[in-house]
Amino acid sequence: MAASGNGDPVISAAVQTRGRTRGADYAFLGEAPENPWWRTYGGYTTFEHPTILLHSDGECWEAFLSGIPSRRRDAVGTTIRFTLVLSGSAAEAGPVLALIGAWLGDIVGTGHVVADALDAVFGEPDVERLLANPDDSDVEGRVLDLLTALPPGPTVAAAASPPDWLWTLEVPEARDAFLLQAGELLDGHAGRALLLNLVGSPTDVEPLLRDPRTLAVLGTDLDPALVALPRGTPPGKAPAPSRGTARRLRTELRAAMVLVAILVVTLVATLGGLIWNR
Amino acid sequence: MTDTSRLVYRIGMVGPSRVGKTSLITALLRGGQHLLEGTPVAMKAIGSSTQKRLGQHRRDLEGSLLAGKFRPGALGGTQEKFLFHLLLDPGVPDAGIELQLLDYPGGWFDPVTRPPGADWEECEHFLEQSSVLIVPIDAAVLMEATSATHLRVMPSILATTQVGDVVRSWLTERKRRPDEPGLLMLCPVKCESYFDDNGGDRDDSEELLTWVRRLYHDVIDAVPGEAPHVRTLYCPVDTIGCVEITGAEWTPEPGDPATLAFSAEYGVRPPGRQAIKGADDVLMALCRHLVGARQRVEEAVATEKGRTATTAERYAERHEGFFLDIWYVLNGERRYRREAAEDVRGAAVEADKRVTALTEIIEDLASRRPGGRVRQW
Ligand SMILES: Nc1nc2c(ncn2[C@@H]2O[C@H](COP(=O)(O)OP(=O)(O)OP(=O)(O)O)[C@@H](O)[C@H]2O)c(=O)[nH]1
Ligand SMILES: [Mg+2]
Repeated sequence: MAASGNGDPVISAAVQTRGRTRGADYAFLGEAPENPWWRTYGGYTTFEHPTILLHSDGECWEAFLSGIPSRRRDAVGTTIRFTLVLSGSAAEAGPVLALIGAWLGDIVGTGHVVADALDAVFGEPDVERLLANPDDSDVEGRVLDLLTALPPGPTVAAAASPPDWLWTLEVPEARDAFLLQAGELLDGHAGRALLLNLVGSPTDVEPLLRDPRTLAVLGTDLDPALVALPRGTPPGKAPAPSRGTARRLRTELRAAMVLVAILVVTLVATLGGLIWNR
Repeated sequence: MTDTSRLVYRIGMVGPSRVGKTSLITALLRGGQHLLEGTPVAMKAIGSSTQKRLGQHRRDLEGSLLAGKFRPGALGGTQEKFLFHLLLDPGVPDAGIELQLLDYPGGWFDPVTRPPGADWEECEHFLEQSSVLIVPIDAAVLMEATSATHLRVMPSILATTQVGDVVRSWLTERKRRPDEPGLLMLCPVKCESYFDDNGGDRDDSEELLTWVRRLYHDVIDAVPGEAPHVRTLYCPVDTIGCVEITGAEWTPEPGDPATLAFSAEYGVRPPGRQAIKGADDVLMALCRHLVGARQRVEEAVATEKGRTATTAERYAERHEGFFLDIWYVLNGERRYRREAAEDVRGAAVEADKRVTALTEIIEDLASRRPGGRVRQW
């Protein structure tokens, strides 16, 4: 745990990466976060490709940034990546917005701001050593130093957007809207801002709307227009019956009517018989 | 996303970090789409995520083939598990066969390298449920070894002990299900340079086969004793195809000079376009496995007919529906027909034709002669 001046923990940070050899697969340097909350998004994003997840419940936030390409290569020559997992309280989120802004900038541009900063702090010998000795952990402190050294994020002009939306990463206004939302979450508003690279259409993110917190999603290679995501039917309101159900209901209704008709006919016949026989 | 009435066919991968699991999965899925072209059955991704994941891999691969040299930069290792969802789709709702292939970081399957917090339990459960297990094998490690030291480190690079452990516990599970067919496939990958049937000019295929037998004899020999109803197949696959090994290096590990790390360089063969080879053999073997499963149920049903008419149902209970589902799907799907009969008559006939087409195509693929690379043990 990192500590602020008065000793209270403020931001906790963890770094995941791999070593060069085949045996040194992706693992956290130092302590792994207790709750791997990002795995819920496994069907929405490839973590090996650029991903950003930011959650806030109004008081605390948690952030996950992955796909950050290191200059290091593994034994078969492929690029090794970094993942950063951070969490903290709203009061102390300052450098995190700068980090998200810088990572977004790197993803769409040719910059290596975040990757270079991580490579500078976690060079190859260091990474190999930390992977071999997970207990040796000054990782968090180094990440926090790195964060404070990042250039401040761009200032984004406020613009109106729907509470829940999906937009594509390639549109500059979409990135601005994302950063605006991220800033609000880090300021203590409940909600989610997610860059998910496997989302192909608004229907794909529908399940995420079950969570009442606002939802801002950046996808990749989508239509350039902003899509306002509709919240589903409010709880309590029954959904319209499906075709199958409707058909079954109709059949049941018909059966009931036939039954009533038979009863009526029998009744009339019985009564008629009684009267006739009299 | 998963329709519960659909037949789910699970395929598990077993291999260490960087061996070629993800590449093999994507090659199988692309190969499957190719194999079914021109038939009424399609192999489709279920949902955007599988579709986009395949697209990402394809782009990464194409990028790595540019400039005449194979630079696998973007084809990085897997960090979290990912389930590929596909549908063998005859175009009729609820009538297809769903294929699920689980991918995970190779470091997870070795208890020694498994990082804390790895989601291995779920992967293990999936592997247990899988009726097919695929073991990708890095052919270059086997074929480029030239000294006794190389031979000594080979098993640790390929993690043969851990592969053996996982396969054996899968066999134990298969033993508990003697009526359910099982299929174990050993698939050498990165083997373009050792065959002369896909643009290469050298045929070292016998040597590769000998090496695989030698290194994996534990696994191969365990099958008849542990679960004799499991079939073992050898199916080498070129997942890239258009590359050729140009150099191999065995370098001492910095932390442990007694062990060696292996790396290889590849050049790109013109025209530098991916040329998958061997994936169709794997898919045909999967179809044969499905047809085999159906035949077993039919035989069981026939022999027990005198005693009871509900054998298939009892099988279904015993085997979580796998058998009955196969029976339904590949028998022309009577249950589906009944449901369809409620609908317009013409549509039902059309749907029935399509479902029959799925059966016919699976049977056709199952009956094709395997390619020259395949061996059965
Ligand atoms: N030459 C050649 N290279 C291959 C082949 N298949 C995979 N590779 C390369 O081998 C490397 C590892 O492949 P992956 O499919 O990512 O391996 P993996 O088993 O999924 O690795 P992890 O996700 O780390 O467990 C990549 O650089 C691939 O490009 C092949 O058939 N031929
Ligand atoms: Mg992989």
